[in-house]
Amino acid sequence: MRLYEYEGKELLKKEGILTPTGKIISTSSEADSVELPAIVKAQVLSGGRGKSHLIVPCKSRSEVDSAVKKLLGKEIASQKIEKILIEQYLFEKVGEYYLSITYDTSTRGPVVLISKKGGVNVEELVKEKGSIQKLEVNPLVSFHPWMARQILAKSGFGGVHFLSMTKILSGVWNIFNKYDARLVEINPLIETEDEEFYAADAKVILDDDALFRQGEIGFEPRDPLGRKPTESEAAAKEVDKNDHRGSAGSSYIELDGDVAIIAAGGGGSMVNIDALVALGGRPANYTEHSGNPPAEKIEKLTKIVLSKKDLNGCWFVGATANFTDIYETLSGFVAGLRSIKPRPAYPIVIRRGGPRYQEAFKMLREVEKKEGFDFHIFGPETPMTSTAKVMVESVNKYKGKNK
Amino acid sequence: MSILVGKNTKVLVQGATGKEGQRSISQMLSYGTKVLAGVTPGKGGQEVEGVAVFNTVEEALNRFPEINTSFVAVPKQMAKDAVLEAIAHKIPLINILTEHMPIADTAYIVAYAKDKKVRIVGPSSIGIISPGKAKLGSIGGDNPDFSFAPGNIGVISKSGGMSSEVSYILKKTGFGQSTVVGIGGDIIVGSTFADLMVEFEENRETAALVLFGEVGGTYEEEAAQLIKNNGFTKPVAAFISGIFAEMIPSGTTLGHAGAIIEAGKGHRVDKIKALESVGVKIAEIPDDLPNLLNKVLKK
Repeated sequence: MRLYEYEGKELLKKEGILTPTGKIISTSSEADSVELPAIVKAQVLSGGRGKSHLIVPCKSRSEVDSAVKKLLGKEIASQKIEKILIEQYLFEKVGEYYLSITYDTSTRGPVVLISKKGGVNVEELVKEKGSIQKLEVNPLVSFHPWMARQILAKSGFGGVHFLSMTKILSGVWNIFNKYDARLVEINPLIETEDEEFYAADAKVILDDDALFRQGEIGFEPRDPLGRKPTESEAAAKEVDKNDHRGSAGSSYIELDGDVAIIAAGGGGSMVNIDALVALGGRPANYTEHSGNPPAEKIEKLTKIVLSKKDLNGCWFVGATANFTDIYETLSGFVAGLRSIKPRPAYPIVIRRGGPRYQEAFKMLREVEKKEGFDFHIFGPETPMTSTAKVMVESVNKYKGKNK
Repeated sequence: MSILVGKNTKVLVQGATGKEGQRSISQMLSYGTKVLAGVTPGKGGQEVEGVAVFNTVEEALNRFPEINTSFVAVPKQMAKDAVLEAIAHKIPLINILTEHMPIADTAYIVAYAKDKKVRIVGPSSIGIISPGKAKLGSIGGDNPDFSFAPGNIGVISKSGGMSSEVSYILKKTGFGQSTVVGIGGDIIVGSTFADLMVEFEENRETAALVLFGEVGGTYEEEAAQLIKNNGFTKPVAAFISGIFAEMIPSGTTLGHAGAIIEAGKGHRVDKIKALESVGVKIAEIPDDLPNLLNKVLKK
């Protein structure tokens, strides 16, 4: 779960880390009574806010007002700006630093990153050799102040920095550890002329897999990108929420294309959609089911996937399952398909293998004959990605007929 | 000869009485794997498919000191505790099925395992199979012979489903497998491609290797580095998924927790470039893998 800047800063404050004086607003009338000069910051979950003009330094009241008016309610990358953070603009700065703690896949543990050259993109820092100091944390030993002092010394900090920044770094570790974060980043940490340190930004990502032990952390559930889930995305999530047998629905993402997809298995789904996209097919959604879900769940998911307008095809695709019951899942698919009005006339390509797939295919052929669907059925003898070609070609044919 | 799992594998199942534990025990037994004991705290004295269940790993080991492998099918809330128990008793191979383990827990158990010189495969691992000999977990389901056959190709896959599919594609074209390992798609795993390639290098039965990779993380790049340093000298063919994953805005978590696009690294093109530069053949679709193997093995 990505936190908004103001939420991340709340965590920093709890650890005694200073942030610029500011207020969070959700209506333009709240924008009065801010200290000038101010910085107006749209609260969205995507990075690069500066480049997208979502962060506006303001010298006067009227500049603040017009910035707030311009930003509030604006849609950017399918996120609506609902909150704005207005902060005191720290211009008397003597230094801008970078610090973060995250997981490193190469060391397979937490890693502390520090740079004296903060305030720029990390990507740019990475390019400049030696500009970032890195400290591996052994999870068995945890993080201790001497480690903070050591990496700070290595990064070229001295004097007053030692005491202040050791405390800040320990605070960042506490947040990382206590809240099961995958990332805590302050960039920049601003040093002012009076030798105070302020976190001017905060990027925090919490581990979704650990939310079960976080109790009431007080952050609203959200889409990874900060988008409002669409109606069908919310409905699809419900399918999994109320029934823990297997998974179906929670990974549903609505897309712009015209080929409805009900894919199986995380890895296999990716392989298949890659093939479809490479051939010019346009997915109407992403969704994946796995772990032997019952027919009811697939039925519900099918209804959601196929309720999308202007579909020109449907692809039920998966590898050879290890233990998912194919008769069960395809029965659910057929039940869902039957409830779609008007009855889908578009091509439906099915490729699957695994337990009871032959029984399932027999059932499908009977349904096709009696109810007149346009099924294209393939078993494990047909490479699953080659059915992407069948899908794309039959969609084109169908579209040609309906012109 | 295979790696990790074979005729001498003697298994303890942690989480034996749960749904996943029971299913795995039944499948392992029917494949001929020696499952000696199970552990579920509070359920000591029960049996699953004739396998005795104990309250603690220590009790199970007292009764069956020959146990050399633990298969962990414990819910994510308790998985760290269960794995620590297995590591503390120095069970040399621990295969974790559990999905969605908190990353902090995974990092901790991986560090502890390194300390105690114990190998972890997983979390989120579908299992390990050495066809014709033994298997751990649900890999291959009730009918592993459908997808797997004994042979000389090693397979390492981040995806559980694709480990069977890739093996099936190989089998159809006459390539059997020495050992197939599902390493899981999490961003921190106990055994990476490179870790297992070291074992496959020493394994005389394995003539060539197939890797199934995904976007995110750096394990494919590390595999390339190992080959570059001559740590792995056998032919390798690989498939890396992720064209679609990279089309959707970053931050989206798809089917696998690990399939996250990390800023500036772990992209599909980076991985393919790294692997190709050390001579690994990259398949456009998984069904091209047998052709690539034919080419590299002829040399």
